[in-house]
Amino acid sequence: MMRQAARLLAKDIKLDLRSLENFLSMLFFAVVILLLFAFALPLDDESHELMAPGLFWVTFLLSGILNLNKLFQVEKENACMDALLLSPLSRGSIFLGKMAENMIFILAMQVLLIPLFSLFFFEALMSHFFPLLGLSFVVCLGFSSLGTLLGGLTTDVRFKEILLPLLLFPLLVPLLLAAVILLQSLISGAGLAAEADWLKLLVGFDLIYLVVSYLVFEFVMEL
Amino acid sequence: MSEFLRIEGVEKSFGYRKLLKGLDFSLHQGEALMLLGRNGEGKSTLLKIITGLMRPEQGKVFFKGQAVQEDPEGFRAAMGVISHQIHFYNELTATENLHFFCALKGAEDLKEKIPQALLAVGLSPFANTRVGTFSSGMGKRLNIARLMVAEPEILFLDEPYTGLDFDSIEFFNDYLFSFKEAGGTLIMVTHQIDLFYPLSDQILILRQGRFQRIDKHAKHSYEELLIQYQEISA
Repeated sequence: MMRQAARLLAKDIKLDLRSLENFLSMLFFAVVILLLFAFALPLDDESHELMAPGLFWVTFLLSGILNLNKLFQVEKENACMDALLLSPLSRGSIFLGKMAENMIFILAMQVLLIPLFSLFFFEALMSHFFPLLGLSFVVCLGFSSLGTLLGGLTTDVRFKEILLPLLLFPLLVPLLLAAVILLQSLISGAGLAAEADWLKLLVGFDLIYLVVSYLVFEFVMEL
Repeated sequence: MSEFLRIEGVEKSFGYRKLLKGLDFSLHQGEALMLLGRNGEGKSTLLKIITGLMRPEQGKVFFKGQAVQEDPEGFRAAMGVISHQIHFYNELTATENLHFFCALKGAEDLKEKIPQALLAVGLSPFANTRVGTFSSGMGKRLNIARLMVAEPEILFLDEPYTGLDFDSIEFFNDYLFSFKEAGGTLIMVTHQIDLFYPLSDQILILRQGRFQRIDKHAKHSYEELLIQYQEISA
């Protein structure tokens, strides 16, 4: 199953790298959000430190949803999704392949976003680069699991760009709350371990979203 | 001869409309079935149910005596599908597409088989061309190349003649003849009865959710079949 998922992932990465359309639109969107916040908010360091965690995850969320909206788009052309479903590829492999693709592109964007964010808002953030990237990975796992399931569910819906965030955002609230608290803790210098309960909550939600989405995806594909 | 494919009591509704009302049929290996019916009678829906793209409310599909639900991946590895859609990625080349889909099917020796198949369907000069630039006839030929590499045991065809010119139809039918001669089993949904008539062993007409059977062997000519079809579907 992992081999099949890896085949699908390799194909998707090849397609994405060929056009870079998804990645660039996601990155430019994130940069525009950061610029707008940078101009609109007070300039003092204290305000930036207070607002940084919220702003960081808002930027993550809004640019991430762009990638989710396009995740299954490539499978719609020439009814390629049907071709995948008609192949011996298990539905679980499709889910894992798509989820991994989404994670890779969002994490690649995070690698660029963290330096930009520290440039605009909070220089000291760069000193937490790797812990923040690790935290992004954990948040991204839950986001991508649930997002891939709901992205698959809304692929053929006419107003999917509206419906997907409507379904996804409320379910992500616990994940985002934990992410904000943990980033606050990171910025304050206390580290992630100081908020171990929130970290456990985050990992717990990741596991629930991953397992439930994996199991439900098969039924979603045959609706 | 044992049954190769059998469907039993398949039912499907959309809203309050019961589209398929307990359908049964069976096919032996090497047989070809032509499925006819007016638009909206549920022919493509039935094909989607058999191939696993859609769940029936009732009923089961059996392949080689085993319920498909017990080994869906095994059934999908044994089947090939051609519809009016080409089922290829526009941004990948012909070779890349074939490599991806045939690897998923578990086909081996792809480095040798893919160039041979592209040569057989006349697409060798376009091996490294993106499929997005292909005409629908070329797309259909590429589909045949996929079947040549993946070597399915049973073919499902949903309106495969759509958008094909005379040469492509002839080429396509030649492939179907050779597939059947080699022991392949076929099910085709089509409105172009004349094109598939010479190949078909069974003819089923879907009318108001049920099958009307035409015994092909009892008929003397294609014209008589056409008259009977028109009477049933009227």
